[in-house]
Amino acid sequence: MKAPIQVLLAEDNPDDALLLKEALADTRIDHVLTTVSDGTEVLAYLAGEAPFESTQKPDILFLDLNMPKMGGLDVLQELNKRGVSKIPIVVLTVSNDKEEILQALKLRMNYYIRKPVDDSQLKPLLSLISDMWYPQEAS
Amino acid sequence: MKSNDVYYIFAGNPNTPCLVLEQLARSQNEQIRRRIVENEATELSTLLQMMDDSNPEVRLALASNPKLPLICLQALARDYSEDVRFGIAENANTHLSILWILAEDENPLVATRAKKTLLARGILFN
Repeated sequence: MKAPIQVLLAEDNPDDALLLKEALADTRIDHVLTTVSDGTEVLAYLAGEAPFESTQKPDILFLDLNMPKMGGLDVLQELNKRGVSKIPIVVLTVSNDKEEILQALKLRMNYYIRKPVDDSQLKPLLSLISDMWYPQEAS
Repeated sequence: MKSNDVYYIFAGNPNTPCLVLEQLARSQNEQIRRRIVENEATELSTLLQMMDDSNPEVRLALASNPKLPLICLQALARDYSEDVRFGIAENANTHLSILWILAEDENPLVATRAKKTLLARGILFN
């Protein structure tokens, strides 16, 4: 049996966070969801800094582009500076701005979803992450 | 959204890890396999495994991947599919040595197309 997928969601809007939570639940794929609400928290979480010292490393990061303190693109830029992360990064956006998406792609984004999110997008995505990204962890 | 739609996007993304690309290369879906051979991040070892892909469009796309060694292109220039050979013959970026092979192709359409491409590159025939 596979371990639950550790999902880190960076989203400042509680309604959008709830929608993603429900969409994840609808996939019926076993997961553990942790939510943070701005870019600085994402970086602290990934680095295991306070108050996230004892948290588990995420298997996937859902990253909203528009967040307070530090937006999604800035987070991507910082992650690139810190070294290549193996965690798949899915950008969440309401924007149709191609430049923004291209910029995220250059900053090693793996996938993007236009909000609102629904389970039909998430199910194949989580399956791919579980089966192909971390295949050695399957048993 | 179907799995293949998601897989197709990952197959074409240069940020997708090689390990994932390698697995997607075994997809039953030829469009996904085609995206894999077009992806600049796909490793040579994966590309080589796709030399014998059952789909001619995948093999033709493979011929356009700049990572593919010349010796592999030579093999594709003798592909059993005329569509693959024609596609290579009409590609303005095809190496001259490959175009010379195709200019003598048993299929006159392929041979003529290769000669036209050579002409466009400034190579003249008697």
